[in-house]
Amino acid sequence: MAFLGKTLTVYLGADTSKLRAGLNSADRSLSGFGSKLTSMVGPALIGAAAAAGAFAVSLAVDGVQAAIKEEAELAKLGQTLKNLGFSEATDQVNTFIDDLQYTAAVSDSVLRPSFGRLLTSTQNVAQAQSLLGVALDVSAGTGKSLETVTNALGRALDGNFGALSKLGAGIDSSIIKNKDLDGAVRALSTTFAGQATTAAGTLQGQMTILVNSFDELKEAFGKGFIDGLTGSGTGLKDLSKIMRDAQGTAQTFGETIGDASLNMLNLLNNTVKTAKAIDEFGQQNKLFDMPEWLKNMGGGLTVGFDSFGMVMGKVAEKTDKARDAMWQFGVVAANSSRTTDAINRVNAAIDGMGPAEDKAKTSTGGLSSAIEKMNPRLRAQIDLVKDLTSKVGDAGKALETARKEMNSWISTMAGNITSEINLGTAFEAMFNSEGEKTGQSLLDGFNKQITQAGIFGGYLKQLNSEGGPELRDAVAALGPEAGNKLAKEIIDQGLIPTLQSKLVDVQHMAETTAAEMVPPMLIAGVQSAAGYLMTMQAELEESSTLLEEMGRRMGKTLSEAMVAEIRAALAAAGVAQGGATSIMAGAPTPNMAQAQLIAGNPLMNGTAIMQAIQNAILQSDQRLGRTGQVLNA
Amino acid sequence: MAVGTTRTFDTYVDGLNEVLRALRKLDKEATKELRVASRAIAEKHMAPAWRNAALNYAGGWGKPIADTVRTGSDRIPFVKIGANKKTLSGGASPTMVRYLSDKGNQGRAGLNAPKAFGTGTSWMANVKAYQGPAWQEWSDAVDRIVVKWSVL
Repeated sequence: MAFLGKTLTVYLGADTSKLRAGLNSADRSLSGFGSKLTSMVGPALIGAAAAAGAFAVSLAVDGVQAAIKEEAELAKLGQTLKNLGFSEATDQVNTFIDDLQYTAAVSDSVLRPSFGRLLTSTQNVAQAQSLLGVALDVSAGTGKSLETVTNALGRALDGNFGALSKLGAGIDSSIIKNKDLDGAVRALSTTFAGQATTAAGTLQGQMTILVNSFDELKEAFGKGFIDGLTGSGTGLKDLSKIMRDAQGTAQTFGETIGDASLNMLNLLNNTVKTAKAIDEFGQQNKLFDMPEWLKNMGGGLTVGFDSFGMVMGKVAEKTDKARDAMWQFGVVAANSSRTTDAINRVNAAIDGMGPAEDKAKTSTGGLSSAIEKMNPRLRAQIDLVKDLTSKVGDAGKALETARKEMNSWISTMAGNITSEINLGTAFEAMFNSEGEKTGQSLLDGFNKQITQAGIFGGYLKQLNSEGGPELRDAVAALGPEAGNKLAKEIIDQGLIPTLQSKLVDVQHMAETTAAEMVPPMLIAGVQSAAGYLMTMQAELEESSTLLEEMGRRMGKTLSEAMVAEIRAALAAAGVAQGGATSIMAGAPTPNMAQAQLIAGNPLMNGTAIMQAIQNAILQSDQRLGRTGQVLNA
Repeated sequence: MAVGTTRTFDTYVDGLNEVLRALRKLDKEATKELRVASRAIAEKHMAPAWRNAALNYAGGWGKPIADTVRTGSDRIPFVKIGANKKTLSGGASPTMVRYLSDKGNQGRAGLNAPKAFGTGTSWMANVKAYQGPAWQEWSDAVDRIVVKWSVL
């Protein structure tokens, strides 16, 4: 048998866990010990980077979608203003709505169509703004959606008061009957004055404002991203024009890339050129001081890496709100591209200080320690957003509960009024105890019950208007028979104000007593929550500009990468003078130099560009073994 | 007939496995790129060093051994040394002479080793200089890949 030896495989290195196996190998003399990994990002940073990447993709996709939606809404409202001859008021209206969403706790995406509806009917910007304020109050006071209220007001403006009467807003029937719009608005303004402001001031209102603010942040990021991607300040306009131009000639365009904007991201994500873009983004991004910190740290290393960890920890603590996530995302992006240089400088400093191995241990441990401090905060931010969403969901449930309670109250009150309407009782009243007919018909008995209920309702209204809800509820609980007698007695003796006052005093006394017994911890909790929300609101607003800039920079660098990819694809495919069409037709390569000339031609039309994008996507997908995946959140 | 390989490692690194595990959190393309980068590093640093060591220090067996040095694809750079094709004049393969040329009668064979190998040349022990630069480049590659595949 022939001797067949084993091939020797020499690895550059292995983890220390393999040391024993290595020493026991036949060639153990090759094994060494002592080398340390001194210039490499730690596992914790890789994990944080992966998380930041996922967060960035999510942010970009959500942001772009939000920006697209907002642009559509703005365009729609702008067109309405233009059609009605108020083009010059567009900016003022947009500002009005933008401000209103923060004071009324209603999203601008809800305010715009409502304003548009009112404007269509009023044909007057100032009046529409005024009525929108009234509608917000009514909506907050009645619990009905703003859309429902503005539609009712809009119809009333058009002469149809039916919807307005069904709002349950307590408008006098004579106003409805006479179609008195001014009277209706006056009544609504009086009844629901300050409801929107009050609602916005509640914890739920603040939460809604917070969520709206976060949405605005995403929109800002998406807008900046699109601006950067298209290389212009006109946002989607150019991008959509290119798409539109391409649709006529590229039949398979839609099949290949589906949602064009998302697939562009996918393309860039999947191509080698993206790396350059990301590097450039990191290098261009001067918003974050992380590389500078690392540089300074390299120069003044006498305090060791633990100080780095401490600084990281302090900064993270200082910015532990929404902005923190954006900041850390930027840190990862900006820092990572320079980590190597910075750590090289650090290592150079280490080498000059003593035994390299010990210092290297410090280096690795310190960096990992610092990154480990940063990573949870990024996670915490993501959790915070999830938590906010959950809380808003809870608030919505609470609102639903309140609505149910209100409906339940209405039902109870109606039940009180009609509690003695009973056909069975009316039938029994037709006979005496002997079973003989009394002469009263079933209908007469039933009508009596209805009359009693009507009288009872009238009494309750009077008690409510001249006294108050406390007195009304007390009498209502008795039902029509006893209630009518008591109410008549109260009214006849002129006791309405006195009894109402006493009932209110008793209730106030009870509430005050209960309030005095509320544990201080609960009060502090509510105050703390309110303060926290206000602070977060401010932080989010401050972050808006930052995010828009970040998005613009990302989009710009990605755009450059996209152009490079297109040109590379065209050059690689050897485009003939006929343009990119030959790529699609699979035409042979006639002249590479000519193709490169065409590929570099800035006057190449939009259709050729889009076809080249399609080709580049296909090439990228083939390289990556993918088939037209759409980047999705 | 299939034969296995003997693995050995130039250096041992604290936490290397942890880093490799963490890299799996990134896109699979990141791992592919690391494999490409590692192979390039092995081609640049490891393979020339082992070929030169064989040629310069392994005596008459150096050339056949050096010709068998090749790289492969893995996340850590590596080279393979040896082959079972009998290319030497006496009918031996490079694998047969690789160990004996290094250890001679000082190794496992002891005095049973063919006398031609004497006390060996210790040519393998001389291959160390590339480790620092190779590690540096590999670390840089990891940095670069993390940057590239973390943001988008």
